Amino acid sequence: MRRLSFRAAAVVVAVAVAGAGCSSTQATRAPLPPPPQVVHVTIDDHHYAYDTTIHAGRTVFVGHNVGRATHTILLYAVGDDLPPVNVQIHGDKRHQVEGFAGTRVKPGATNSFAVDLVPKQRYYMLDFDRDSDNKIFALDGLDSEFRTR
Amino acid sequence: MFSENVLTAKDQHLLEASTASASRRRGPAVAVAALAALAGAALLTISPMLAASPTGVTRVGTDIPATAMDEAVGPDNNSPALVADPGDSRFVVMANRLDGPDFSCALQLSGDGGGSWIPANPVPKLPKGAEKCYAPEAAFDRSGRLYYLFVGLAGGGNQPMGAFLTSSVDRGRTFSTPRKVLGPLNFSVRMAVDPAVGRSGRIHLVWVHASSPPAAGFAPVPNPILAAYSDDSGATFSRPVTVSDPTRDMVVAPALTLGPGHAVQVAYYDLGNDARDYQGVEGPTWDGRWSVVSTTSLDGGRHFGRGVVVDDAIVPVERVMLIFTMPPPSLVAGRRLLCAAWTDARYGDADALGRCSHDGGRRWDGVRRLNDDRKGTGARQYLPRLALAPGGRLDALFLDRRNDPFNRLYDTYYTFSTDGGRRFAASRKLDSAPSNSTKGSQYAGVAANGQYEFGSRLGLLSRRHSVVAAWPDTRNSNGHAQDVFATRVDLAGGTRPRWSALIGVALVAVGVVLLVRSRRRQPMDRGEA
Repeated sequence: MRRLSFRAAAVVVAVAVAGAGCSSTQATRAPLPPPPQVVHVTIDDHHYAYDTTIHAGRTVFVGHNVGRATHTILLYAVGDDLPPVNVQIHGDKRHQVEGFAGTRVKPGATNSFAVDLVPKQRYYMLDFDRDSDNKIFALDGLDSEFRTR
Repeated sequence: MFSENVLTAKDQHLLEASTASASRRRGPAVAVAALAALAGAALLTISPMLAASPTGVTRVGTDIPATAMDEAVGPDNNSPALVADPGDSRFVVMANRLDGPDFSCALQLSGDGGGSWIPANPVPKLPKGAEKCYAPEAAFDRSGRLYYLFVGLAGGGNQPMGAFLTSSVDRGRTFSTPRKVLGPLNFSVRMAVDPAVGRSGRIHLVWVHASSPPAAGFAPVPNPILAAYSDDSGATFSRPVTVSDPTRDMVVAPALTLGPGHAVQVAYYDLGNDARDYQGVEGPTWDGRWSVVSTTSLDGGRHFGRGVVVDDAIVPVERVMLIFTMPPPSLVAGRRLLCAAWTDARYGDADALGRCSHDGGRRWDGVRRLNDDRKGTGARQYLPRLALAPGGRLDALFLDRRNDPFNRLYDTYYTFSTDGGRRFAASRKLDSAPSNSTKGSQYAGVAANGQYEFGSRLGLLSRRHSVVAAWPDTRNSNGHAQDVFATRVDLAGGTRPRWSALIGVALVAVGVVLLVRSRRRQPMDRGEA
């Protein structure tokens, strides 16, 4: 009887300790969702700097403004019939394109926006904010374009 | 004289008595040892729940977009609901509503606990007869199955034609064909899953049932709040039971939450005599009072008790845009703690107010302001959302226009209470850029013509030492589009040593040593005999 109670107590303790150590046994599950693609865009007063290898799907553009003025990242989905962005922006005949998405970033600040990019699509990236001479920054280097993979 | 090998009867008796006495002494020793070890094991088990209370916000993370913008379409994303997989807290989903350019619904997924988001498509094909998906709810069962509930809308008047349930067992990659779980004339459908009941969890639904097809508001007849549950993953549901008190005619906007012991808690508004908002007719803001009423089911949703008035002096802030999408009170339930929050103009302008009960909802503390700006400045605080962390911390989130003298731009603020809602910490701004409360779809009905739709809830997911918060955000909107932004807030207290765990280890060790020593002494005792 004494031996039995000792063993019973030992078994109960062992089970309780094991239970305390294995509080969350997790079943096998599908892989976790991947993070979205993140494109970091460094903006100075004359240039967007970013990796133009961009894939389709959910993409977060994170703008870091290292310039002295407030800047905007504006994306436009454009067709292949449009000229290169610098030709379009500096040309006499501008085509009307509809804004897609974007964000405004104050000097020294970071701001972001998310988009669902379409495969093989061409996008302009432009800044239509104006400098102290009332000239749009897009005419002064803040124009860029990329095509999604 | 007697030989040392010969025992007299008296000696024998004395020895037996001595052995029995030793055995009696060891009995309690074994019991004490076992009890010590068991207590230590129990302490180890609950030690995560006994972590130190937070002392303040240590870090507000970078706020990030959880939804995608497309100005050409102008999606109005709002009403986020955050839910975490109970088996893996890294997997978090956000169900949200769209009010523009047309009614719709969406789902975002996160594999890093709410730090980043990708889209999912829970309803790739609408059920027959439904033209739009709206007002989604999300919940997990114990196995990690994700349930997504939505209301199907049809016709020019966007009449609900049923509530549908779909689910995913592969973390949102694919979803089952939506199954109709409620017919037409059912509004404000809420869902929650009790993971501890049945094979993998009990799905609870609560909704407002209209007795006849409503127009801008409900018909002037009782339209009760009902509830039902399913123990077979939504294949069948129990017969609906009435949740709201039969004596209350104008009950709307139910909130549903689950408490310990499988308690089902529901809170709803009783509009009193406010037929103007109830029926959606024109007129100024109601100058009477509304009530928030709570009721509980202690038998897993089979019966609900008589409603208890949480507060009966609620001053409406403005007209209700659509009685079917009216923001419900926010409701959370913990161990005996029950708290509700709502928007209220009793102090002269909109405030986020709340009350807590410490006896499971029978009696309620006095009303508390969740926002800590000065009273009566005219700045609005609204759409409060409560959540309860595992350690008992009460978290609150609300929209706040205190920083804009024109009362138009809003920020998202967070506060918390560690004493069950009696006192709240200083409010903390979470967003890095304000939003414009005049960007969004404007309501076209006569009841609240011109008001901007910003949804019926905020997203708040409480963890032991952090929260994830989500809110409608217009910082990137050139037109009327709305994003949902989210961020993580870290709270102090997470790095303190868990003394309860150390004590647990010590108790287990002491218990085991005592048991072993007691076991080793037994043969010696026998030899002596």
